[in-house]
Amino acid sequence: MTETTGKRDTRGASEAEAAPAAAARTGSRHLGLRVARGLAEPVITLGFVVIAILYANSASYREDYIVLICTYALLALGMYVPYILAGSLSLAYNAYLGIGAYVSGLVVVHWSTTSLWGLPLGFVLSALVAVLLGIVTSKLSGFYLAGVTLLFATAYQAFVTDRTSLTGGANGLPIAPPTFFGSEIDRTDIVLISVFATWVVGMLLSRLRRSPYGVALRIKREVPQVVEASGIG
Amino acid sequence: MPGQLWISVAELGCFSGLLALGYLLVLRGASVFMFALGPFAMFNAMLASFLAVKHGWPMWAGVVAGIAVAVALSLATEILVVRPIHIRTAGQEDPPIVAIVAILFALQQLAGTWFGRTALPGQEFWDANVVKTDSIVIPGQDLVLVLVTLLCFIALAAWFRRTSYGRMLRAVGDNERAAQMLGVPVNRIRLVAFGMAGLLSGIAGSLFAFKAGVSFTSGLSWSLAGFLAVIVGGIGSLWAPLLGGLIVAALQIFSVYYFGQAALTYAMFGLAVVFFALRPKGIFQSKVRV
Repeated sequence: MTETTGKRDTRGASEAEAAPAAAARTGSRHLGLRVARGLAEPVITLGFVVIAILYANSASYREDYIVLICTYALLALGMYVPYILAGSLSLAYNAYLGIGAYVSGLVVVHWSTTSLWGLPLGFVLSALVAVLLGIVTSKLSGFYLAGVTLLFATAYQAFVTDRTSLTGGANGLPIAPPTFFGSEIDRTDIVLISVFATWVVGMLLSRLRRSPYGVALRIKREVPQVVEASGIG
Repeated sequence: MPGQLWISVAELGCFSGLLALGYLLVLRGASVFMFALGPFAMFNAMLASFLAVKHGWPMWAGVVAGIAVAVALSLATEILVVRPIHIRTAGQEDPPIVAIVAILFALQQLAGTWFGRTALPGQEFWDANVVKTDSIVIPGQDLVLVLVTLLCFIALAAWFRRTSYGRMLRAVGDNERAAQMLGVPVNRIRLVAFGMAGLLSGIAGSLFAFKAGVSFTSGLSWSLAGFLAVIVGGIGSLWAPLLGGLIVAALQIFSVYYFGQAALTYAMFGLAVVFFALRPKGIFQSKVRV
């Protein structure tokens, strides 16, 4: 990937100015531009993070609002790699989200510890279910993938409402605010955590998109034969 | 196994088959999976009951209005949503699905808001029992449902094979661009496919709603039942949806009877996975000649 960008840069430079010295100068200017562009993304998005935190600062309904925005944003970012990059549309995200939430709740109910333990457990379990569903449906795409994942989503929903002893059924599980080494994590902390988590995930995905893996994924969406022919699984 | 369950299988199978026939038409004619047919059927049935129960309309007027609305919804989906997306995304498969699934959930919530969140009774066209023994009761409505389903399938099969529109629909489905170059009015054909799918969903909803009533959440489960009937039957033959519908209905009825309500959804998901693993194009496979 770096090779191709390099090539494009030199070609652009040689088109602009013929003299080699001038080309080197424009080359370094390109480098500077690229660094600036690389910095611009985190700086500008951090600006939005600050705006969100300042906005949430004044009233509790605004705090909940920001947390809800971050929840939806994380859900959408979760769809980004499979859907936007790889082009496979799954509709089972409610199950993945729900697994994380229920694990957090069950940790409180059964182990009576902080629901923060649900984070690593929820990550693993949710990812495991997603990978299993991905393996089962790996041959499908388009409508059929959407339909089967929708079936899985309804099966999950039926499971959650049916197993009242495990999940509390339609009433759900009561969860106290999480604690971290004894001190309670209050609303404001949750706002900070969720906003920064969203920012970090977004930045990582933006990097992933431009990484060799991301490029391979994007090409696989357009011309799958090319990717398979170059030996990428 | 109680004989009455087989009656339920026939009811549910005919209903799923009708919805699946609608899916098949849109799939063959416009290469789109019209997930929103279930909510169209639900919307139509709820509207008919709402007009009859809350506003005292005569039953037939309500049913006709409901079916007309289902057709209008289907046409509006093609004209306002699917076609613009289809043109702008150069015929990609995923973007219309997102929009159609969004319509599915939006219609469910709209129906809940307008017609109430409680289940409404369905329309009964023949409220007498045709057969009544100790073990089996066949309501007249079942006979109506089965007969109308068969009539729809026979009429559509004839239309598909004999008429120029039927042939053009298959041509557009096989290769839209080639059909367009041959002078087939692609947009009109797509519209016909959507309209007929809406009509079928309307008929299916009106006839089936008497069974357990209809509520605003029925749409999704109806959609999925039809989807599964397409998966199992395949789209190779016009009768495939009916066979698929009957198989899916048998599985649904018996899994609920033996294992309870939640088993229904597990069985449906399991059936879809099994069919995709073993016979991904369904029982009747179509041989597309490009």
